[in-house]
Amino acid sequence: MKRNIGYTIAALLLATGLSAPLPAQDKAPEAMNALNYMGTYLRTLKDFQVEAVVTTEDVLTDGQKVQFGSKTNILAQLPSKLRVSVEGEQKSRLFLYDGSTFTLYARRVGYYATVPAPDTIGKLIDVVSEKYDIQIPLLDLFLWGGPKAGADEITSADDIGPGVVEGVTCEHYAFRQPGLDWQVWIQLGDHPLPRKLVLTTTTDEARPQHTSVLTWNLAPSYSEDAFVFDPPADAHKIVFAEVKDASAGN
Amino acid sequence: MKNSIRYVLAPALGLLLAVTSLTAGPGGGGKDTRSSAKSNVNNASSNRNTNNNTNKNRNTNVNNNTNVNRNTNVNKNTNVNVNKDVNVNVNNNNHYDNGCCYHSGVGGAVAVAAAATTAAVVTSAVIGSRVTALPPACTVAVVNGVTYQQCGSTWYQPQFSGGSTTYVVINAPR
Repeated sequence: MKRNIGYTIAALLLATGLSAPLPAQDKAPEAMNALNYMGTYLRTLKDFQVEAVVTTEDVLTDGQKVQFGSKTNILAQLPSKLRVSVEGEQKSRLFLYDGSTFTLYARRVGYYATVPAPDTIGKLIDVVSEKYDIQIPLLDLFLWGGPKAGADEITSADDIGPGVVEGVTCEHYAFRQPGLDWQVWIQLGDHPLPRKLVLTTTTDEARPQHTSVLTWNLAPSYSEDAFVFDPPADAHKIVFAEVKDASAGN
Repeated sequence: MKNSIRYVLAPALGLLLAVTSLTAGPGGGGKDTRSSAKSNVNNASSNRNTNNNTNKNRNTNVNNNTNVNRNTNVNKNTNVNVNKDVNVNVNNNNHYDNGCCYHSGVGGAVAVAAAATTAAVVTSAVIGSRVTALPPACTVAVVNGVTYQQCGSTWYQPQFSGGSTTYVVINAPR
């Protein structure tokens, strides 16, 4: 009987996967479901305004980290209008998209560049990234719940527990994927909005972090002019370097 | 502006100090940015991680051409006559708008400024080289609808390069 027991244990181990190294994927279904629920909800929004208070870190050559603060304001009218202003400690940017042209304006230096753009925010995000190496701030808000959301990148997902962001009751989730650990606080109830995001880059041992606390307005009032660039008198038109130039030497 | 003071003094103290400053860079220790926190969970299109654009620009060795960077043309000539009344005050806030840090573009701008004034050795900054900050005393010129910055005899074309503004040395457009 000893032998039989041995085989039984071996079979059990195989069946539970314990005899092999643990699989890399360890995803709590409730965390993945919550992400999905949030994404699906985001894709139902027709227009919204979000203010994000952002802190981000750079790592210096010796591993020292420095932190920068900025405020990002997004006004979106799906599917084809977007206004994003970023006021940072060392940088200011205005991204404008009216469904046919895209403009980037750097207020402090007084430069702007305008190019023809595709007909949706989703395509715009792709084009400016591919062609000009420009990331639309908080582009996740437009990708979650859509075909571009990188849910299959996730290797670990956990429900951390209850959370509160700026007085709003949330559930706190944590995810891991190659090069990035990230957390999201999702508002409880019928409006599962991301209220806080913390991204920890794991490709640098100093693990720089990027935090955004989001305040939502789901009934913004705005004029269509908000999406159209009206260059100030002292602004100068410049060009976008295309990636094949910009990445030379990188 | 600590950095300004350092650079105003540097020319007066002569070649050695100037070169030292160039090598060490401003900002107290010459640290450059090696990485930035990712700002998005999802990738826009390709899997390119675009956060590291500013990392490879620093000419830590001004006398050496071997750096792997886009400023490959900022070269060994730059150590000649650096003290020749170049007011290397590159903390030119009017043209600073690139996020971290002052020093990430300074090496290039300084080197180009120096090269531009050493006419006996180098006739001009190398066409096609790129800096992230302009030398001082530039004026905007619009030629045929295109914006340029003229800094002495050197002309730059500003452009958005990724999330940053950069300046490419060009032939005089007029």
